[in-house]
Amino acid sequence: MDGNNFSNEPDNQDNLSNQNEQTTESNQNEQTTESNNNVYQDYTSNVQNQVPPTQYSAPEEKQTNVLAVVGMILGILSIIACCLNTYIAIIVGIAGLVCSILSQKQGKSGMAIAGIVCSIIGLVLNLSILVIGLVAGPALQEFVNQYGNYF
Amino acid sequence: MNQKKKLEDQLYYAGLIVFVLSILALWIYYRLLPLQLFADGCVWQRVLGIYCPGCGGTRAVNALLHGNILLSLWYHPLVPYTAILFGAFMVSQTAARSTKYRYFKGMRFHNWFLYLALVILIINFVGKNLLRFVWNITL
Repeated sequence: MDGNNFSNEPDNQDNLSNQNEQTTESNQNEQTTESNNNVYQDYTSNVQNQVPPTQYSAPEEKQTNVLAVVGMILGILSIIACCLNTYIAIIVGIAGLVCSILSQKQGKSGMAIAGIVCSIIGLVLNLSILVIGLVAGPALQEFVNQYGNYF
Repeated sequence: MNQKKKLEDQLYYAGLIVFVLSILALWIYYRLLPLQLFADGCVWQRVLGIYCPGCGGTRAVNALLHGNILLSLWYHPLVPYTAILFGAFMVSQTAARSTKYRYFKGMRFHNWFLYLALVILIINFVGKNLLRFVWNITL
């Protein structure tokens, strides 16, 4: 036992010395990494035009304007109302066109464009019918009276 | 979400005004009909000889008021479509508002309601004239 102890003593001392060396080496390594980190931080701190972190925001949902909805409804009505009365259809078409154009000022939307298109189609159809009726109405009536109502 | 709610509020109040005005218009129409204010008929049919996009609308309203939904659908499909959507929106919104949104929120408004109405209008216009001139099927 003693021999073992005797024989082990220098080994223990060697181990202790090795441990001390390892701790000193690890301390040195830590110091070097810290110094590296400091160097890295210094470099980054000198950068002036840094890109700000990107901010992800939820896409805003496009809201339809009430004027755009009313304009499109009036545009469809102006197309339909030609069967009822041409003058009423023209008034409705003008109202739809005005509503759609006003809604475009508050923000462009597909509904407003559709309202403008429908109102213009209604106005063109009704105005053309009105002009045809006023200009060629009597001649058409005579034609129908002479040759019968083909349609 | 608030803007959507605001839009539906405005549409609801506009719908109430339209409902009152349509009842007034129906009353005037049935009162003025003996005076033959609209007795000339469709100008399109007299001048161009084709069905206009609104032809059959009055007959569709009459059929709907008498409870003939299928006949109304044949005369002008936009009339029952509008009546069902408008009625459902107004009734559900009125019920939701009267209960302060405790039980249900009411019918939502979608943009495709109007786009679908436009598609129905175009298909009806083209289809009715095709039926008339190709297969001699009239209203």
